[in-house]
Amino acid sequence: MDGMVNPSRVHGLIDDRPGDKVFRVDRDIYLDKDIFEAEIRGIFEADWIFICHESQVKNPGDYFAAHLGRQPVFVHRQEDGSLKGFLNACSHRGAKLTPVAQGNAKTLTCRFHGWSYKCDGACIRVKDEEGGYGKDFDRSVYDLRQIGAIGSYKGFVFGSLSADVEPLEDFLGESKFFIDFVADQSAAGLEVLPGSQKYIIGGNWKMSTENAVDGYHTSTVHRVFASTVRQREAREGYEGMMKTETGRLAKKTVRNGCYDLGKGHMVIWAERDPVSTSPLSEAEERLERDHPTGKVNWMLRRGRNLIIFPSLMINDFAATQIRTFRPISADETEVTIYCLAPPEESREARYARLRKFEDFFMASGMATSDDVTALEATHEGSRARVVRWGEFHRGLGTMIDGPDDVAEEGGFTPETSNNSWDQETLYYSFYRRWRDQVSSS
Amino acid sequence: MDGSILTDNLSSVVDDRVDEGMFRVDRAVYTDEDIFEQEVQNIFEKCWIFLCHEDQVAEHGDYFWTEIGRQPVFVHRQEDGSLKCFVNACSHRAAILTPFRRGNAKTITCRFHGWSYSCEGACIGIKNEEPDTDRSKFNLREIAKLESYKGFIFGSLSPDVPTLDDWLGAAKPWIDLMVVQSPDGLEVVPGSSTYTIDGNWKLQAENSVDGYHVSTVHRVFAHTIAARESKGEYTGIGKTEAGRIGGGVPTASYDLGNGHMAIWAEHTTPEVRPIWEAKERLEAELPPEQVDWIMTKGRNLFLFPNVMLMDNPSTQIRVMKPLAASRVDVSIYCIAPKGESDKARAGRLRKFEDFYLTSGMATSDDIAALEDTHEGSLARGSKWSEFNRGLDSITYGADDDARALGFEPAACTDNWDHEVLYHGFYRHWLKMMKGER
Repeated sequence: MDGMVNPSRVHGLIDDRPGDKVFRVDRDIYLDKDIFEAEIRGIFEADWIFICHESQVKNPGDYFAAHLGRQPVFVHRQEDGSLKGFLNACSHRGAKLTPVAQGNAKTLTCRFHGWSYKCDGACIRVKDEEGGYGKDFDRSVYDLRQIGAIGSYKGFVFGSLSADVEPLEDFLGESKFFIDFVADQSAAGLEVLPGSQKYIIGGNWKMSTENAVDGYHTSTVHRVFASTVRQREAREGYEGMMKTETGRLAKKTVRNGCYDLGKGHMVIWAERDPVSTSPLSEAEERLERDHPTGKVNWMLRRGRNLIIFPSLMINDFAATQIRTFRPISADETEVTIYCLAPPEESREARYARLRKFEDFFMASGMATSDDVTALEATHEGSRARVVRWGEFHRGLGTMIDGPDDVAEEGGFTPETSNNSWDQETLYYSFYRRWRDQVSSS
Repeated sequence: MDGSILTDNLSSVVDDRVDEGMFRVDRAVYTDEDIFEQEVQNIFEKCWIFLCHEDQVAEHGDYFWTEIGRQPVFVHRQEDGSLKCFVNACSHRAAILTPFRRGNAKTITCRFHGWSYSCEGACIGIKNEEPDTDRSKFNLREIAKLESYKGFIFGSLSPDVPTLDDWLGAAKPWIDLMVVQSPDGLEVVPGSSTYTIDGNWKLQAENSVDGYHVSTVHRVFAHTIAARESKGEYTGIGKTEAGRIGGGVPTASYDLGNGHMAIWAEHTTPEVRPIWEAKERLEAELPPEQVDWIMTKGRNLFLFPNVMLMDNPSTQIRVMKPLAASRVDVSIYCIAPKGESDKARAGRLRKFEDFYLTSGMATSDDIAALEDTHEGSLARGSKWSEFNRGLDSITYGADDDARALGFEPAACTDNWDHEVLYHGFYRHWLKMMKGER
């Protein structure tokens, strides 16, 4: 299993002919172990990958452990407020250094043989140094290894094992507008609320990425969620922002759409129905004062699911969420979810946000569990190799190059726009970027 | 994944330049599946592997099922008292034949289609047999080699191995130190514990003889025991010698050759050891040097590639079975001199539970450290694990203590914190991986 994949084979896996009304992907991309190795090498260990939110490493000494591909890393907040990213391995014998996933330590001491590292990565202590090494022992040889690049955009921290990456803002491209639509909801910057959830899906990571911006499945997979919540809210008299806007899920009553933002980033959106159900609606006046109405329409009046290539989802629909997909093998994906919120919101808004987060997004909620089932069924179905292709040509007839009218209102320029979140044209730059990076790994 | 792509590159994963002050190992040896495949084929299936102790198959018909590499085998005690070891697979359709890990059966009947085999492996029953069937074609397959050293039974799938005596070499006097503790030999105390570590088997092998981690990983164990014992509930044999874990006592480490390794640390309070009650008898029966080693040196012995014999706070056999590059099964057994007093046995068992059992206070910390190390090894930008501690204090050949006991190590140092002993392990590992003898 050397992960060698012939580049021409990779090109053959993406049948990219929109001119012929064809865009489809070979289902091998979800199953093949060599392709998976090439993805790890060409994407996850070579490119910008989301690590954490700055609010999770607020104070000097705060650290956050994550993975870039399969390699454990951690981010450490420095004395001067800057961030450094390190490989999470003791220089002595390789033990992971962070005792918990998120914590605070001005120095990290390896729990195996007791070597210590300062916040800036300097090896500052070797247990019984004199008893084991000669006089000329040079501790600095054992300083922690920094990752290739680390950067932050509006609180979202990304890292790369490779130093050979474009500047983070160039990488984010048009997706920055959609990060702004979330991040600018608070003048103080957003915070990740305490607590998170991790679960493993028995399916390929790309199916999770697709699902994050798949409007087409909602009226099928989440139909039960919609009718359950609607009945509950009618019976128990839920009002205002405690209500979940469920009508949107069951039938198309509001305007919605999707964008291929370019560079593999993509987004779906739908008008809120009604806006008053959003916990952010209490800040409407402040938002209108601080931002142009075109932007407030996007921040407040439209729900949005954003994918940043390859595996970060930022979600602002029923609640607000960061969701990451970590590939473990071709057949397994670890999902981590966090609730994200403006720190200044009222107790009432926070309460509503959390309840709706639990309802929809948590693994124990009523929507995510249905998604997991659909994704695992799709992974298994992909093994029926007689049927080779997964189709992505829905909406080819209505796709337009560049922005539509609401994109212009937000000031961003997608590669293509489409008139319904049911359409599949948004996946094209994702799979083109995927093809290029996997074939050049 | 054909398990051969690394043959040309194997030497590069062991950076052996002791003359230049460098011995390090590429962390890929822990994580690479191809290397793992090659280990199973070139080491586990070509080497003497510990199977069980004779006490576990004492009577005619007693069997013990274990694995050599990934291949299931079982040892069967014959009517004449000899031992045979068979591949544990029915000749018909390969079902595992032994219903339990350990049991007694004069004939074994396959639970799948009912074929039967005598104790010596002859196929003696075929359900609804066709006329003129030559059952002897279906006799069980014996493994290539089976030998016992003072009760410790080893087997090899390959006939092309040195004699067991030659293979054990300098490790034999260390085994003897356990065996001579009772005139009636050793017994394996009933019961065992098996657990899986999400880490490479070599991390557990290294850990068996790693004195350097003790004061870090087992600090909490030492504090807990010291606090508990200071309350006065534990006296004499009931006490664990916790002070040693903090350091400050004489220690040493040995590369015993053939990949075998050992460490010891001095017991400052030998009277807490269960064997203390036998001191006078041992002094009357054995050379004083051997008694001194038994009484005052707590010892961990590692026999290449996957078994550890331990005589520290308690006595144990620990067997590691590799499942994948990232997983190893570990089984532990308490071993004890036959005929010791109930009080000594109780002390031995309680200390076995305290330290070695997965539910104890030390093994659980080891597992956490080993799993962290496996995961950290995936950070490929931090490529090398160093084994340079103690390079300045290597003695080639025996030190005074080794001479006193009568064994000749390849190298030793005067501190169990040192890492020189691993050089022998990884040199032997590399040699076998390359198919050399």
